[in-house]
Amino acid sequence: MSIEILGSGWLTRTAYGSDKQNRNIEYASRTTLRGLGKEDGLFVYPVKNFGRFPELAQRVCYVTALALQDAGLNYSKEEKQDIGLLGTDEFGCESANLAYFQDYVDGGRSMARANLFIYTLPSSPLAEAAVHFGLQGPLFYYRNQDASVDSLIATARRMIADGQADYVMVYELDSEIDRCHVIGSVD
Amino acid sequence: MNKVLITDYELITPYGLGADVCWQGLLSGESALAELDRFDTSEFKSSMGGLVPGLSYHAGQSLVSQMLEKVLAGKTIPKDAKLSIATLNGEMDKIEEKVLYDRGKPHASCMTGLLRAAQQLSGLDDEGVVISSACASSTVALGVAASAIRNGDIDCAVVISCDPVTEFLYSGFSSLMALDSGASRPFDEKHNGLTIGEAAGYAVLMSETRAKEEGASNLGELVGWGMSNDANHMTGPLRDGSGLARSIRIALKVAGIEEQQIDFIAAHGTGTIYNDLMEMAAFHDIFSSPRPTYSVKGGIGHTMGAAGLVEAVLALKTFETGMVPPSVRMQIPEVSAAGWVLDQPLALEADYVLSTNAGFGGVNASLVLKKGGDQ
Repeated sequence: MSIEILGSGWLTRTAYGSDKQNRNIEYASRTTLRGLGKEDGLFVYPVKNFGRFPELAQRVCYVTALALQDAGLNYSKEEKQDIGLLGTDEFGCESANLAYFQDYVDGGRSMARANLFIYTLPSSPLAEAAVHFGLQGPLFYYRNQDASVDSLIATARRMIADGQADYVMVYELDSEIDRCHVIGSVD
Repeated sequence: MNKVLITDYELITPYGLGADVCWQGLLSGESALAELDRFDTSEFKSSMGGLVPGLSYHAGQSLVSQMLEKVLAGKTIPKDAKLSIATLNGEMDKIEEKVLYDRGKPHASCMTGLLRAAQQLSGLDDEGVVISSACASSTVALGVAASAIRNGDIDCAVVISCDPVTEFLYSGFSSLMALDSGASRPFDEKHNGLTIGEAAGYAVLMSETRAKEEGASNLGELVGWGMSNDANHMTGPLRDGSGLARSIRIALKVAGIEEQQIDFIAAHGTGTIYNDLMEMAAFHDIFSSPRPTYSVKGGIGHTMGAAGLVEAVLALKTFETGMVPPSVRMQIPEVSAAGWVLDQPLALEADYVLSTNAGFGGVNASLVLKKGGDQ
């Protein structure tokens, strides 16, 4: 059994695409990042509360959809799949942390906003994707000093070999380009 | 496949410094939860917490860093061990200081800073990785490290875990109405929320071959790990426990044992109604008969990302001492926990334990540990 990258999706401020299908679609001149899902039909069914997601969680959902499509994997509301999600990025949830605590302080340190608090975990954007796409495998944030994805892919391979999941989505998220790779076995 | 042994560990918890201190505290049935004086709790649903004694808040060094300094002092960890830091959110008090006092450099609260600090304190060569999976962070990190050893990619790893009690965290859980108004009572019929605690600790994992070469102690074997996601809701667990049950089944399969071989359960047991009922539903689904079960969170609180490591280490103490601790502060079990959850210490010669954790984002993680012995 060989475990390989089966497909990849990517997203920038101006374009999105996928590797195996060789897609490269410019969107910035006609729609916003937030409007992309609806206008380009990237999701098979609408993402619940998508407009309320922080931008990072929206980006994660986009690259998840693109990568699953590139790997030839379907998804549905009715059936969950044994697919894990492992992600790395530059600064974790730093901006969400600052936004949450600043809002709490500005409000007089008496009542915090739960809808900001739930994004103060670096794994939260991955969790939004897990909920929407029905991905019930392992889910965690993984950060080494140089944010290299190689050890993440090696971890994903071991997880598949261990029987933790059939496939693992590996995310590299940063300010220039977001990437998602589907790791799985090729018989 | 290599066997994965735990050869060293240490903890600092609200009972004080030392895994033994925490263990004795739990066996005594006395809770270390108390009224908080670290920040103003007058606007929150609760004023209780589990604080490590002797830490300074907003005084130049983060709470996590202070705990790690204490727990790693005088310890010798193999310099070539692969380093993992498991945490919910790292140095949250640095975020507070940035917002409240505009202190700190840009990105000072980011986890790469914590990695550097942990590397220096532990004296390791490896730059390490941060693993964050909500309140299952350290359980996941132990599983990831064990998998790498079992597959022969590395032969030694250290998992360090830590999370502090901060106003940041406390205000958030209060906003979610997740705090017990008093101190938490996991699995009690009156359970009504969690109490936040803080802790730090580490565990050294080695291949059996390396441990024999070094003459290291075999304090227990990490034989199984399973991870899953509910894929259901950001904050609430699947009520039927099927997500957690899935992680348990995977852990048992990796361990190569049947459910009948599990002698006792170190449960997540946060004290929230949703968690406790979900967890018991999973246990009822998996196990053909009740097993002695407990939560440590009535004693030390919910130590967030550190909970899994703390609970795995304490489970090893049962193998060592032949005693299972009580679920501190549980008096009358809620219906589904009756016959499972202990209100008194229990003498038990055990070979296998199941340790479970779950968290925000629907994460679930389970470990199976086996009694250690002579090399």
